[in-house]
Amino acid sequence: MEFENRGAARIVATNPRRPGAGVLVALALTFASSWPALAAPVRGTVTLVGALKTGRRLQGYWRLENGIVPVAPAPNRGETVVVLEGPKGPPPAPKTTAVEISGLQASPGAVVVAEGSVVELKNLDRMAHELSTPEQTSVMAIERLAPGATRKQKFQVAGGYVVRSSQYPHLTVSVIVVDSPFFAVVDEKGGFKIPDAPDGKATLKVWSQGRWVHEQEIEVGGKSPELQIKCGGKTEDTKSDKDSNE
Amino acid sequence: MFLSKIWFVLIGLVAGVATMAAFVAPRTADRRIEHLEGQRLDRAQYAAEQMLKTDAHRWIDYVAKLGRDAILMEALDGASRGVGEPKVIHETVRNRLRTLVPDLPAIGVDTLTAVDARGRIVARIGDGENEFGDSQAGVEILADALRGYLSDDVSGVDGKLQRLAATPVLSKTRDRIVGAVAVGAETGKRLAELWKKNLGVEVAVLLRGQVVSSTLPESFLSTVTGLIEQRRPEMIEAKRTRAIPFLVGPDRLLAVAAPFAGQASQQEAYYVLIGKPEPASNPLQLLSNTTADDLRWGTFPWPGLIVGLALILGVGLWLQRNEMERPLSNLRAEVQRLARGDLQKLRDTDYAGKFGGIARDVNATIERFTHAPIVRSGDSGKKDISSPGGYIPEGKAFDLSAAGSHFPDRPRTGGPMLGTASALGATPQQRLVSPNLTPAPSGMRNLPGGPPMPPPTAVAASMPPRFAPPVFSAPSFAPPVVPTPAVPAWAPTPLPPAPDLDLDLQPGGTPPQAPSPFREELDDEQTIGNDLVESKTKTIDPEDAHINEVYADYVLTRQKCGEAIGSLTLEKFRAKLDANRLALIAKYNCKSARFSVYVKDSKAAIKAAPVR
Repeated sequence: MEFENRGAARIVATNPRRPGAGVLVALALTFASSWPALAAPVRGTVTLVGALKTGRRLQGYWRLENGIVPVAPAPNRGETVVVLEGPKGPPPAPKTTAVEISGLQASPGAVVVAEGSVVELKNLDRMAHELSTPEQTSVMAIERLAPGATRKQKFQVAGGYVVRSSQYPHLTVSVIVVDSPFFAVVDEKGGFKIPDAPDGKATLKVWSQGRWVHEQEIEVGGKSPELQIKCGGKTEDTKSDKDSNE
Repeated sequence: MFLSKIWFVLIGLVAGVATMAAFVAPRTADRRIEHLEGQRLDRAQYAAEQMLKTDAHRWIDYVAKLGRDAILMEALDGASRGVGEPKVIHETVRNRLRTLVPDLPAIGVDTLTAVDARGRIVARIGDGENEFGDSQAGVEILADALRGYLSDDVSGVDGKLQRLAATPVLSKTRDRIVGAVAVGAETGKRLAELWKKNLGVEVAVLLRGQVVSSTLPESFLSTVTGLIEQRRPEMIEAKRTRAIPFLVGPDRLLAVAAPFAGQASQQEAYYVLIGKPEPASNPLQLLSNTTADDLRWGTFPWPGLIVGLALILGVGLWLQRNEMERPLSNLRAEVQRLARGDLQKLRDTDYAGKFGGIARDVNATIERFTHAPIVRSGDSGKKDISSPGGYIPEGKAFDLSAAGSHFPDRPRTGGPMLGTASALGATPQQRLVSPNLTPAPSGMRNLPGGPPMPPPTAVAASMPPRFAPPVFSAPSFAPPVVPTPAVPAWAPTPLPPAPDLDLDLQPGGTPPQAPSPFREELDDEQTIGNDLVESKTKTIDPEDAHINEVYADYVLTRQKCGEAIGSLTLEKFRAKLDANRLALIAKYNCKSARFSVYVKDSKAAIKAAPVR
């Protein structure tokens, strides 16, 4: 409401002497009531550190560099997503998103969909996969997906979900279900941009490698500096474990 | 005996505490043993983790050697660049792998896999050897190898647990990665046996709730899986569990579980180390393990035990002697002296506790049988104390009032008399000559209000010989046949020889009245009437009554013994007994004294006892 009032007042103040001001004011009020607030982009860079940087979720006992050839950086498979929570916006329309499983990996590794969207999981491998959401078993029960078969799964409630193959635990698909348009997938350089975010306070959350790895309060609006977000570390891990336990 | 009881109670308490400790101590030992076994399992788990690490490194080293093979390098380089026929490359690589590892089971290898730079299978040894070309780029260990890492992993596949190790394969020029080689070794039975041998614990490997391999029977593990499932949060948090106790039948076991690393951690793959603490809760079982060394002089505290036992026995015996045997023997000796006549009464104040009670009871019994008053109260008046046991023999009941009439100047006090002379219709002669020999009516055999009296012989037989009074026969109470001279009762008569009294009673004075042959010459009715009037005007003194009774008893006893009583008078008798009583009171600080008559050396004698 504060944003609406301020926006309306600004418009009234800039048009005090024009003819047909009443019409314009009425239009402005109508416009203001339908448009939540002034919008500003939220941009920044996400830097993954620690275990998130390695590109490997399930480590064995040893991981040694070869010592001859430089180690290549972990490939970005689009698994890092930034979501802005708090501001309300027009919910995105539900749609069907396809995820292919090939070479014992999912592509893309993470999808952001609206509530009520359907995720199609296509198994292009030679072996079957038993897919489920083990941490939220009520959402997606374990089911065998034969080679070449497709499984459609509808996600109704906003939140983060991990679809995992029980036989090959490293094979995961992150499904982030959102109820607002304020999200972005982090690019290869770690950059992200959420356009038209409404001014005011909001919570920025980062999803990477199958879990929420960062969360912070930000002030949207004006000339806010570009956000530099470092993700990773024990605190986030612990919090995630606690959440999952609860 | 008080200290003896205390000592007995103390020994009982100590014995109870020792018994309790004997049964409780093994339980604490059980807990300690269980705790130690838990610590042992903790150390074993740490050692197992180190062994897993070492083993992983060994596999990495092994696969790294394979990755440095020149033929593999060249073949995989060609496959990565797409140079050459894939099938030819496949066969080349497969053959080379077979050459390098001719006997996979001998070194515990299950599979060998070679991939090109894009993660496509070039060749594999093991399952599906003829298949190639499929991508496994998503497998993390291979993806890591293609990035340049040598690493390991643990993965559960098709109900088996595999240890994986992968290495990048560099080009011949060593400037880029052209592929990767991975080796897979089944981890199960082999690992369990190895750990059991090296760690001394039982081992079970679980995968998704199923036992993959174990050194224990399946029945032992049915409960383990449930326990591990319950401890999953703890295991996720701490990467291991604490020692979990669980029961399999009568066996109490301990288990420590920990997850495997890598993908297996997401596949609910755990290894469980199980130990069985030896129970110590059975004392007999503990004793059965005793060895000679445990009882050796330097090991076992024999001196302390011996000293302790000797102390216990010594104190116990000393207390028994001091509190039981010594007073008992003293009491016995004193009773013997009493029986011999050396003592008149036990020194009951010298004894404590029940021995003192016995002495007092004995004294009371002596007093009762020797010089109890004829009439102490209204109730006691129902007894004829001149008879043994204080009862009236059947057919020989006597009028007690007649005894009173024997001492007309000392009227009786106390309860009602059984009957007066006039009430019983006694003749004056009878009343004069026989103070207590007036036959009572037959209805007075058993006095009203009192229990039937036993015969005297029964009473005497039931008593200790020393205390048994002489059984009096009826003739002894028969009135003496006295001639009736025609002289006054007060007339002096020749005195018989002086009686030999213990009390040093000197004869002399007025002649005795009771057996006086002259009494019959008096006006009986007037004399008795005067006596009665006189007695009514005087206060009856129990002491005087007692002396009168003793006097009468004494006279009778002397007569019975055939001794003369001519010089004996009541006044002298009373004076002597009073003096003696006063002496006793002064000596023993007692209230009074009681006298009793007894026969000593066929002569009547009197003895005195203080009354406290």
